[in-house]
Parts: sequence; structure tokens; C-alpha cells
Amino acid sequence: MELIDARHITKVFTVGTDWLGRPKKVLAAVQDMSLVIHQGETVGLVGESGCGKSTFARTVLGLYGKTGGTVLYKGRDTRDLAAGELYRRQVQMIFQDPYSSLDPRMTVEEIISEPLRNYHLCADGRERRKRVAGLLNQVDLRAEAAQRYPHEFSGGQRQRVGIARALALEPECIFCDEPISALDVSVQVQIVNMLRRLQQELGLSYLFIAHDLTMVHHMSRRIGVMYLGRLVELGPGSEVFCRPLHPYTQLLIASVPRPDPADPGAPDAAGEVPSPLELPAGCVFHPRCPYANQRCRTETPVLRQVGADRFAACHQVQGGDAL
Amino acid sequence: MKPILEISHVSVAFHTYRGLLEAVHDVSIAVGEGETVGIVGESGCGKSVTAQAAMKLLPAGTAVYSQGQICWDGQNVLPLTEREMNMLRGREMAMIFQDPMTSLNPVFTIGSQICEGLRLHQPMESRCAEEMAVGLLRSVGITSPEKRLRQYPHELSGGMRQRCLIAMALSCSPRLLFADEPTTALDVTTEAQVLSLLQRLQQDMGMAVVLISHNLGVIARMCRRIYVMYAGCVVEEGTASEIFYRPAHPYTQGLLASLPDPDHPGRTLTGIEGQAPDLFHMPSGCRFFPRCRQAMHICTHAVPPVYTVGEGHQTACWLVCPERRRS
Repeated sequence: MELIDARHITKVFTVGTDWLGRPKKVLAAVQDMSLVIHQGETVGLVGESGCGKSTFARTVLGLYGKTGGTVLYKGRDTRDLAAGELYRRQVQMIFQDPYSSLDPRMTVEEIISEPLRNYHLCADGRERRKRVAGLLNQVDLRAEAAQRYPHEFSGGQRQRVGIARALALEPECIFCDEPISALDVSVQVQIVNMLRRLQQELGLSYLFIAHDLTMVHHMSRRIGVMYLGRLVELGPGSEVFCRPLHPYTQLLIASVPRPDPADPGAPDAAGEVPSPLELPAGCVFHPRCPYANQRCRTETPVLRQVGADRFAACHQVQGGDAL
Repeated sequence: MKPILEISHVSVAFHTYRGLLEAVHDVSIAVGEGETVGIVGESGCGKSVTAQAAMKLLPAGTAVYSQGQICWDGQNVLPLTEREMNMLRGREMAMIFQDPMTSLNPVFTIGSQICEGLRLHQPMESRCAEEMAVGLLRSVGITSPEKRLRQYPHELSGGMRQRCLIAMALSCSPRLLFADEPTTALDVTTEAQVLSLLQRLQQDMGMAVVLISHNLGVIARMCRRIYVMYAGCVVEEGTASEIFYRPAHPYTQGLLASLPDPDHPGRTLTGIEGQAPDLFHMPSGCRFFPRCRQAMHICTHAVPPVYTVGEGHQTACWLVCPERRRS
């Protein structure tokens, strides 16, 4: 069942204004992006920094206010009051930085119970403490942690507190915005294993955002690849990872250094990511693309179906065959 | 191969409000001429302190070298004065840092920062230095270097800044380059570019590189010999193939088991339980035993000695103790 159906999401930021208050430049952080999250599924979103992954998640959650596009939650438009209220409660978020996403002046109990208070749940103190203890137990923290402050914890433990806060309202879906990139390798595994356990126990859906491709592949059933605010490829995880169609996905996957000394290493990648303020005409990837031709320089490709459950935004991809 | 840098049994401690804190304990590392050596470990394990200790970049007032010696070309550098060290730094050994934004001075142009280093070691006219700087920038793959010389760090992208730092580090053709997490702040495609640039420059100039990283992929791609550090100690050292194909220490095994297998996505990762110890409350015996799945009674109270388990492959773990293997 489709849990969240984000259609044609667009988010434009204005950069600087002239003396009349008119914007000087516009930055299209997310352009016409559509993504569906099914119940119980993990959708991965990868791309390099500045490609609009986080902006997309925040826009879909409604954290940026007015935007283009619509978000349907279980088939109902979230601009509808009742549906919107339910949506905000059922979809929660985990943030990247476990240091800045927790208020240093609140105890862990206050942090975790804040969402409960917002929805007037567990008004009774004893009941609330019991609920917080239960949540801490779910994320493998001791009940004593409730009375301590965030600075007393390590990065991995803080991320657990953030997850407990997201779980407080018993959501159906959690947007994980780079939940592990600030953590050490051994701690990353603990958090990833915990997220997967919680998914099985509670039937959660995840939007898993990360720049670490191998971890996204490990976590997700479907993967979307973003480049400069656009979705360039979408498909089942193993298909996208093992048989990438879009030249950018191919470059991204080839660039990941593999933990194997016998691996020959990545081919030399061409060029740099252009500034999102001065996007190239046509396909935004064409200046770095080895297959670019005249059509790519003028005509912007749209995401289209190229195979069973596979989508790519590239003129060169024909019927699901890799270039 | 005679090592150019030999760190033997060095311990470094810092004065803190809570007393003396030992960040690096009894670390021995050797780097041969033209060799690429990797130091891998998680944050706080002492990788960067080891590198900065070798160049004596640690703050003189707070850092204490409590034992051991650091030999550069057979000469102990620990007693050297700051002035004598300055002759070595830049010319003989250089360092590139993790964060390309904070290690460049925002109020000077790229050109003036590169020329400063050049003219410090080789007295020359400013025009001459500028010409050399253009050549350096070109060699690290920066387009239109003449224009870049006049630009400030904030006008460049992260990858470009890291290239500028590499150009600065290489300006006096050092024999040894410390690269402290050189690609951690960069995206994967830029990371691949910077790594192949480093590899190419190293082959051209025949310099030795000490690459510090927490990313096992980066280490595997670049290094021939690897040191694995945990909680201030070297727990395992060996050639890349020994470390990656036959890891002996449970910590190294755990690190490798923390990486997802692309061929079997979704398979539960074993990883390592618990978290790295607080440097003030170091466990007695083996520092890894509280997290070790194979910990034995002896691990709780006796520090494991270093055993040789293969050619050039050593590890500090009781599990590989010859007496134990015999029984």
C-alpha cells in the first residue's frame, strides 16, 4: 500500500534580494521530484552533498512551508487539515547531527516526552516516565539515562535518544536524514542493525538518506539517486547498485573505494559538480558525462520508465540497457 | 628498506584539568622511502596525534612526550628546537589536514599562501615564486591556475581547496607526506579524484605517504602497509592483503565485519558491540577486551604482547599466543 506519495515536489530558495526586495537569484534545490514510499518498505536516497536529498525530505515533511507539488498520505492530500494533522504525527524524522539536534538544556526524559506533550498524551507524570523508560529500552539505553543531559552521552547514544524521540508518537514512517554519517564505523553498524530491528518489530517504513552508497544498498529495497536537485535514477536496490543505468549512478558507484586491496580503484572522474546557482542547460549532468551529445546539451531529460520498476532520466538509456 | 621515519615506543600525553591524559601509548611505526603506509582506526584512537607528534606539531605547553623516540633519517627529532624543526617541516615532511576550509587562511589569497611556503624555504623573487605556484596548481589539476592565485579560499569548492592544500604541502618536494583524513570532507566522486591525484604525485615524486583514515576503502585502495589503532595503541600491523584477507586482531575483524557486503545486502552485520573506552578510564589488560567477543580471563588483567602471525604481520592479542595455539 502506498503510504506516502510525493508528487512533483519543487523547492526553490531565493538568494539575496535587490533594493526593491526582489530576489536576485533563485536556487532550485529540488526540481519536480516524485517518490512513493510503500508501507513497511525502506527507500534509499543517495547523492553528493548539496544535491537536495535533505531538502527533499524536509519539504515532503512540510518543514519548509510553501512549496510546489503535493504530498498524499494514504491517498489523502496533506493540505487537507485532518489528513495533514495525522500525517505530521505519523511521519517523524531523525537528524544527521546527534550533537545539534538535541537541546542541551533538556534532560533526555524531557526530550523524548516533548512530542507526547505536544499531542497531550501521557499527561500523568508516572505514566509518562513509564513510556519514556519503554522507549529507552527499545533503543537499548538504560532507564537511568532519562535523568541525564545530552552532553553526558557519546554520539551513538545521542543518536539513540533521537530515535527514541522519533518513536515516541508511534509513527508509521521515519525519515532518516544521514543518521549514521557522523558516527564511527562500529557504532554505525549498531544503529543500522537497531533501525532494521525496529522496522521488523514495529512495521515502520523508512526514507533512508545517506551519501554512503554501500550502506544505503544494505538498508533499502528501492534506491533513488539524486543529482543537483533532480532524481536521475530510481529502481530496486540491487539492480541500481549492480547494474546502474544512468551515467551519474555509474560514476558514483565506481567512485566508492572498496575495502579490498585487489580492487583496481576508480576510473578518473571528470569535472566537478556545477554550482546549483548556475545550472548547465539541458541535462544537468552533461558537462561531466562521457556519453553526452547535442541533444543532452539542449533538452532536459525527464524521469521515464526504462524497465520493470526502473526509471532513469537520461536520453541515452534505451529500454533498460546500461550504456 | 631503511626507514626514513621511525617512531619507536612513543607515548604522548596531554595536560588537562582532570590530570594527565595519555592519547597515544607505546606506538611504533616505521615508514620506508617512497612507501605508502596507512593508519586506520576510529575517532579518538590517536591516529592524528601520532602524525602530529612525528612532526612535533602538538602544542608544546600541554603535550608531553613521556617515552620513546622519533627518528628522522636516523636522527632523534624530540630534542630538536623549534627552529631546527622548521627546517624539516615543509622541506622534508609535510602534512595535509582533514578540513580544507579551516586549514587555509581566509584572509589571504591562495597565491600568497602557496608563495609564503616556497619563499620561506628557498629564497626567491616573488614573481619567480608565483610562477612556481602556477606550476604547482597545474600539477594538482586546477584549471586556469593564474586566476586561482588571486582568489580567496571561500571562492573555491571543497575539492579545489583540498587540491590547493596538496599543492602547498608539495611545494618543497617533501620526502614524506602526512595525509590526515584528506578526503573525509569530500564527496565520493571528488574523493576518487583526490586519491588518484595523490597516487600519481607520489609515483612522480617518489615520496613516502602516511595516510590516516577511518575509511577502510580508502586505506585498501592506497596503502601497501597498514597499522590499525585502537584506544591509543597499535593493535595490528601488516601488509594490506594480510590485514584485509587474514585479519588477526578481533578489532580489525570487527571493523571489516562492520562493512556491508554489496553481494548480500540486508544480511545482518556483526560489527562490534559497545563503544570505545574513555581515555581517562582505560581498562586494565587489553584495551579492547570489554568489547571483544573472544575475550578470555587473561585479557582482563595482562596487556597482550606483540606476536608475529605472518610475514610482516604483527598483532597485540592473546588469542594468537603461540602457547595457546599449541594447546
